[in-house]
Amino acid sequence: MSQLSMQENETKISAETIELRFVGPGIEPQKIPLRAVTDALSAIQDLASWRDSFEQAKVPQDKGLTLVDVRKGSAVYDCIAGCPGEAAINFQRVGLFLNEPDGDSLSDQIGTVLAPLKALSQIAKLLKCTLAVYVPGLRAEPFFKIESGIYERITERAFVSGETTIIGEVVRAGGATDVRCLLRVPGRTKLLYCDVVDEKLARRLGQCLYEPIVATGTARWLNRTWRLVTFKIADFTQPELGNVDEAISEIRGAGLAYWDEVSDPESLIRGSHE
Amino acid sequence: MNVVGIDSMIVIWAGCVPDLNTESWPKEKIEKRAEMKRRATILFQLFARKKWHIVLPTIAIAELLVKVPEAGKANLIAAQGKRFICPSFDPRAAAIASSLFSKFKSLPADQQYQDRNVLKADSMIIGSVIAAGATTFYSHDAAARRMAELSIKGKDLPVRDPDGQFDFPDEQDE
Repeated sequence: MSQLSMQENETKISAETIELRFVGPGIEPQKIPLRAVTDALSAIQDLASWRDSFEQAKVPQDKGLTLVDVRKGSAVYDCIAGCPGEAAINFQRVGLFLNEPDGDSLSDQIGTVLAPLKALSQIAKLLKCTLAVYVPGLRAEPFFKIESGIYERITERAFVSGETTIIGEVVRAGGATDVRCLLRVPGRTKLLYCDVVDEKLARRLGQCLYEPIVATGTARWLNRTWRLVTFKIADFTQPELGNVDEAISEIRGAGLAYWDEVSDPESLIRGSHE
Repeated sequence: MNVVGIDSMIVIWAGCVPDLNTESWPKEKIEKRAEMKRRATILFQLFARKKWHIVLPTIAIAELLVKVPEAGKANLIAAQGKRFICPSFDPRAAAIASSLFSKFKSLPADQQYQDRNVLKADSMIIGSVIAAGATTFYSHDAAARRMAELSIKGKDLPVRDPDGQFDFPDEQDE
């Protein structure tokens, strides 16, 4: 192998290496719980591959990270990225977003970064350290740093909550510890895990398996995209048009017949019209 | 699961009795009522056959309640809730309605609403329909359909049953 191609190869290897550093007093690899390491690496892998946790269950295999070394100082985890160029661009986007959370750097893709940033922020809090992501082959400085409480700061204004109506099909209901319901919602790729106000309601939902329901409750949306993040079901109904003649007759009997005397209902409701 | 939205006029047309109390009415109004009754009924038959879920927002229900005495309003609300999905005007609907309102105001003058209040009501109704997950909004009003089409499909009431399964008896030989 020529000297030039060896250098090229070294540059390639270096550029492919991603470092996750846990930096803080007394931090060493042997003092970090395995769970914190795996959660942090999973979160970094999600950011590197730009996995949308709302739509994609797993990171595509070719975009995953592989752990290749663990070093001291404070604790450094070296990984190889499947798509290093893409990972670096994505880390840069995360860095820009963290510098200016209210800016438009991520626009409607904010949902992609929130879950991993939450995980990293919690780990930083747990270990009383800072997590920093480096790509040594490209830049000496970290692409971004995560400190305890950063998630809370960036999400202060990221969500909006309110009462709403969700139409969906009940896939599962119940739960050993928390009462929950799994809904298939039109226009959404992944199933929606919902909280349920009480066991009585969960039991009622359980009797409607694979049936459509109209659930009312409290939702939390991402404020830039209106993507539904959480939903707590307070009640539900199962309206159905059914037999048209019966439906119309019933609605007429309930008061619609008062419109019989109006010769031009369109004008009454819509004013002048086309 | 197919979710569609409707306006209040479709319910009024479907519920009317074409030849009731119409002796003193102009001929064109009687004919229009009969025609719209037929088209609204075809639409509901289509919905029932396809088991589509129908969204009639509470703002549209408010329009239906205009002619109903105070004591009867709750009955009509309950009857609609049994047959239709009746979402309230929620935060997401508010955001969608405001976007529809702004976008519509930027259309050419000949495509604008003549009445600002109707523009506001329609943006709220269609906003609620979209927030509930509907992919099509049915209305006989061209402006309302244009507004819906800024985000989803806007469709008029069918003139004939697209599946050829439903027609009034006196229309079958046409």
